Amino acid sequence: MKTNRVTKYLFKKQFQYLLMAYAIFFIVNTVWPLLLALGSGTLRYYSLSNELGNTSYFFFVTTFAIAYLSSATYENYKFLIQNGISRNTFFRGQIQTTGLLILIGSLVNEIDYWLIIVPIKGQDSIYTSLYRYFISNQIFNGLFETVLRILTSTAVIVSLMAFGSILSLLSKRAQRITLIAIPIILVVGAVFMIRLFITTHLQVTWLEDVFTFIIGYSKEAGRFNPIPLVVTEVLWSGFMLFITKIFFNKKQLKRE
Amino acid sequence: MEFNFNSSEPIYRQVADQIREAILTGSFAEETQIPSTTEVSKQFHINPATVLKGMNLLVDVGLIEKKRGLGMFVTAGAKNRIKQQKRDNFYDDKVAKLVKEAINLGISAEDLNQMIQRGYE
Amino acid sequence: MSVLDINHVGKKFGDKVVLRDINLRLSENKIYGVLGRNGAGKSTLLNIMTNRIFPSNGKITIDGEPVDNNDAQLSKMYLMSEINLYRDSDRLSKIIDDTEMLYGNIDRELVNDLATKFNLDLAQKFGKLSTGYRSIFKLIIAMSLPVEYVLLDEPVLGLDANHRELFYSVLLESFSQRPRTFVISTHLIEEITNIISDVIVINQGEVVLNDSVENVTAKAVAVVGPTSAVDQYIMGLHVIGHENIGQLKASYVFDELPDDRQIPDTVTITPLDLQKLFINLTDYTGGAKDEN
Repeated sequence: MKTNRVTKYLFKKQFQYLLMAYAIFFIVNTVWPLLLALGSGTLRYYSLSNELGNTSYFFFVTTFAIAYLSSATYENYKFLIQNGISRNTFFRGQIQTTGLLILIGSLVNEIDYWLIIVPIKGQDSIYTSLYRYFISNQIFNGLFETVLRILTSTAVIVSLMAFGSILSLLSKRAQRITLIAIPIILVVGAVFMIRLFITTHLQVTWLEDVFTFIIGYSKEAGRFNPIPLVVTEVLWSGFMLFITKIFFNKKQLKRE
Repeated sequence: MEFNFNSSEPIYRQVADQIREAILTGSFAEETQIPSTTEVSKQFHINPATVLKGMNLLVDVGLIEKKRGLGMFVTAGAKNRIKQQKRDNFYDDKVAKLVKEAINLGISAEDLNQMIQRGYE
Repeated sequence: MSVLDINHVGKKFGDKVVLRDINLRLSENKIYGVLGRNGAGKSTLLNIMTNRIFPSNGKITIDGEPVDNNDAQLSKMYLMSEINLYRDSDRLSKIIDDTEMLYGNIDRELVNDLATKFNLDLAQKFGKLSTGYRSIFKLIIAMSLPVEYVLLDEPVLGLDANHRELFYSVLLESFSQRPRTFVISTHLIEEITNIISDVIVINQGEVVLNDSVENVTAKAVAVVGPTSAVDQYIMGLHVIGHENIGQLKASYVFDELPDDRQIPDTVTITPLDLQKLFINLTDYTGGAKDEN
């Protein structure tokens, strides 16, 4: 099967980049402060555990590095179509690759979280602040936390993949315009909405309802249930994957 | 071998003519192997099918023969047969043209004979 | 037997029609020359054949199976194109490894042999190569893959005369050893006239000629002589162009000459080479288009 060969080709390349991303962020977050401390003579204030425990940056690195690698598909498309690989096979190969990278990345995230962050700072995540009382069993609680973190990472990655698959159909010029325009539109839109709410005291209860449903808050029970969020993320990821596939199949050589 | 690609002759005929010429001059001796289709094709940038077509013209008249697994060989007596053919066609191919041109230029038969004589001396 | 069919293929870029209703059949073990002026649609057609871009109409099949989104059919072809689809940062040796993995095989011996012949160092990065050497590298890959259709779009772009000669020899040797279908699109018509077995001329998005070189050159002649004698002789024949030099006229005919028609003494008939034929078939500024 060609799919496995494509996966092998993509994985080799993308895994290297993921390792590189980890290396860069490790240096920026721990080695760089050490060098600064050495330079400024404040070495006694430097603590490796502090630097390591500061943020769970591995989660962000994993998520955004994989998202970027899985979205920047045009160069790979060019090489693969040159070698007689169809769009469908490229899509399947990329999904397998992304899946593998998520597994590896999540392993790194969880090691970082459970073996470094938790011992230093204790269990401190969005999950624990919302859902820690849902399951009283500590082990199940931890497992749920891990599952939710992987799902969140996946949902973000697949969303950006869908976005990237649309973006890759555009010319370089149109891509640049889109990438500049979207944040501006989002910010302007947000400001406009906020002002609208403040000035008109608009009640958007349905939006609140949807939001409270997704995060699983129930007034009666007075606590949060993580199941709706899990289901939402799974459905969302599936939908985004579907979008990605549609636009992968529209890829063609651009006239540049 | 040489090919004049602007000639009015189709290329496969030129291939046959060139091989014939080479046999006549002794470049390809009788009962020896001539270059393969691939070699001719490669060297003169001619489609191998065209080269083969030209060679087959000669196979058909028995000037060269195919030895299985070895290649094409000049047949025994090929040189003399080519010479004989050329002699047979000498009047039509050369003399008739020469005389026509001589008449156009106003050269008399006597003068032409003298010139031919000079050529032999 | 393997055949590639181009069925009613048309392509528009916006409002611009680049190809209209192309129908062609490429048969096994032939060397096709695809000729056309700049912008005639040759590259577009080759890109559609290999599923790099979508046609607006029609489809491509190999042995009846559509090539669209079909690995099995796509991997029967290799298109060497003018644009480069390899990464500049990749070393040639790595590209060869990856190509081997994706196509399933590559003739390593031939790759190394050709690299030596063309004096190409495979440790280099693709981005560091000159235009000529990029062409050479792509040609080496094209020759060495186990494909049934080798499609070459402007194969000698940037190659000097020595390398062009070498390439034609390599092509013919490779073709003799392992016959397969070649499609060569080029502007250097004279160089490939005797190499190709069939010629396809595309003009303004349409196929205007598709026949064996032998048939084509047998039919293409220049009829030269006094205007009245020429006009009389060519009456009713398919004339594709003419030139006047004083009282003399040269008419370019693409037709079978009638056996029963006497050729006047003042008129000479000479064969037209492929290049001259091409120029007359695709001259849309002058004489040839009068009749339309």
